Amino acid sequence: MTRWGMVIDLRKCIGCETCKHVCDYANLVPPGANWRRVVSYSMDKGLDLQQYLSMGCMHCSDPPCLEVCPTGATYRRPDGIIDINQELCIGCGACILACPYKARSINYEDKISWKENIGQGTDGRKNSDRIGVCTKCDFCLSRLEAGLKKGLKPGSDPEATPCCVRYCIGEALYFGDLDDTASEVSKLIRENRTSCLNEELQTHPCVFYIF
Amino acid sequence: MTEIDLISPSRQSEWGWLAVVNFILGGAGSGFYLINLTTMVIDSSFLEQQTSVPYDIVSLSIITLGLLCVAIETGRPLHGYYVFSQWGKSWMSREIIAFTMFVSAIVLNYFFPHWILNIVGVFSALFFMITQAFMVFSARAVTSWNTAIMPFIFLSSGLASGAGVALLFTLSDISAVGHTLPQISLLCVAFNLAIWLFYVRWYSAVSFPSVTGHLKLKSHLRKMFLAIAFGHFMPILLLLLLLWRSQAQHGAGEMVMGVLVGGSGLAIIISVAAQKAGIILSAGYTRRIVLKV
Repeated sequence: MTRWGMVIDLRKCIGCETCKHVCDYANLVPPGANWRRVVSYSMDKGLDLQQYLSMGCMHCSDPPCLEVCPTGATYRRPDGIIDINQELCIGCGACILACPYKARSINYEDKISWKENIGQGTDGRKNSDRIGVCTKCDFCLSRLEAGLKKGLKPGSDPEATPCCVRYCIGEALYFGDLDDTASEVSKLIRENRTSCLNEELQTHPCVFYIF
Repeated sequence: MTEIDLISPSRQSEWGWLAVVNFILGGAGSGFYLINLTTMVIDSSFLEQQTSVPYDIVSLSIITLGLLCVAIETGRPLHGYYVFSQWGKSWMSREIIAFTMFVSAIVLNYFFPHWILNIVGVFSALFFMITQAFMVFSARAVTSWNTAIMPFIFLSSGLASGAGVALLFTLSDISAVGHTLPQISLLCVAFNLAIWLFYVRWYSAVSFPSVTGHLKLKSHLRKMFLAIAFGHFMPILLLLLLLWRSQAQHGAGEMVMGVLVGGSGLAIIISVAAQKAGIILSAGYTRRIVLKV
C-alpha cells in the first residue's frame, strides 16, 4: 500500500522560502492563505542563530479535520493524501479550527498571491471556482497523478514530485512512499533522528523533520 | 527533549459574531423549550397559561434565526444540503439532523398534538444543545474549546438562557408566573455559574499552560469572570426576591413582579450571551505549534 509522505531536513533548510513561493505560483494560492509557510526559530537563544522550518498540511494518518467536515468534502485518499472536494465544501471553517497546524484557509476573493486573474493553475482548477471553499496543500496531487500515469516515480522523478520538493534550493525536502522500506524517505527516517509537529496530539503526521 | 516554539497562539478568526449568535440563540431556543415543558409538567397551572403565540413556535423561531445567521457566515450556503450526509461523524451534520427532528416534532405537534411528539421534541432539543457543544469541542486547534467541560458549559448555559427567555415570555401574563418557573430558573442560573467558575479554573489549570505567555488572555478571562459572575448573581438575587415576595404573600403588584421577572430574565440572557461570546471570540486562541527535538 502506498502512503505518500515528506521528510524535511532542518539541517539543510536555509529559509529561502522557495518552497512557499513555488507553491503559491503553481497552485494559485490566494493572498492570506498559507499552503506552505516557512517559520524561523532559534534552538539556542544565546547564540541568536536563526533556523528555518517549512510546513504545510501534515496529511495526518489520524486527521482531526476529517471527522469534523459536515459534508464529506475533506476526505482521505487510499494513498494517505488528505484532499478537499471543492464541490462539496460549504466553507464552514470547522476543519480550519480542527487543524492544529494552521494548514487550511478559506478563499474569499478571486485573487492569487502573485498575479490577478491568471486563469487556471497547474492543477487545472480556476481560482474563481475556489471562492468560499477551504483550500490547502494536496502534495501537488495533479502532478503526482499525471506522473504516475506516465510511469514516473514521485520523489525521484522531478515531473511527478510536489513543486516544493522539486525546487528546494537546499535539497532539504524529500518526498516518497513511507510504506516502501526502500524509498528514500523511509531510509532517511530510519537513519536519522526525526520528529513530527505537535506529536502529543496523536494525529500521526506524514511529514517528518530531521533535526 | 527540547520544545521548539514555532508558531505562537493567535486568536481564531474563522467563527465570528454570526457563529456566536447561532450558539446563543441555539441554546436559548432549545433551552426555552425544555424549561417551559418541564415547568408545565411540574406545575399544571402553568400549563393553562395561554399566549397568542405557542411557546414551541417561539422556541423553533429562535433556533432557526440562529442557524440562518451562521448560514450567512459560510462560504457557500447554497451547498448547505450536503450537510445532511455526514451524520455518522460530524457534529455539525448532527446539529442539522437534530434541528430537522425538532422542526418535525413541533410542526406535527401543532397539527396533531400527541405526548410522543413532546418527547421527540425534548430529545431533539437536548440533542441540538449537545451537538453545538461538541462542534466547539471538536476544534482541536483551539485549546480553550477542546476541553472536556465544554459540553457541560453548553448544557448549563443553554438551560439558563432558556430560563431567561421563559421568564421574559411570562411577561405577557405575569399572574401566571407561579413558583415553579422562578425556582427552576434559579437552579439553572446557579448551575451555570458553578460550571462557568469550574471552566475558568479548569482552563487555568489544564489548558492554559499550553498557551503559555498569553497573559493578556488570562487577564481578559478574569474580566470576563467578573462580568459573568455579576450577570449571574443579579438574576439570582432578583429571583430570590421574587420567590420571597410571593411566598410571604406580600401581594406584590404586577409592576414589581414585572420588574423582577423581566429584570432577571434579561440579565440571564445578557450574561449567557457574554459567556458564549467570551468563549468563542475572546478565549478562542489557537494551539501553539511545537517541535520536540
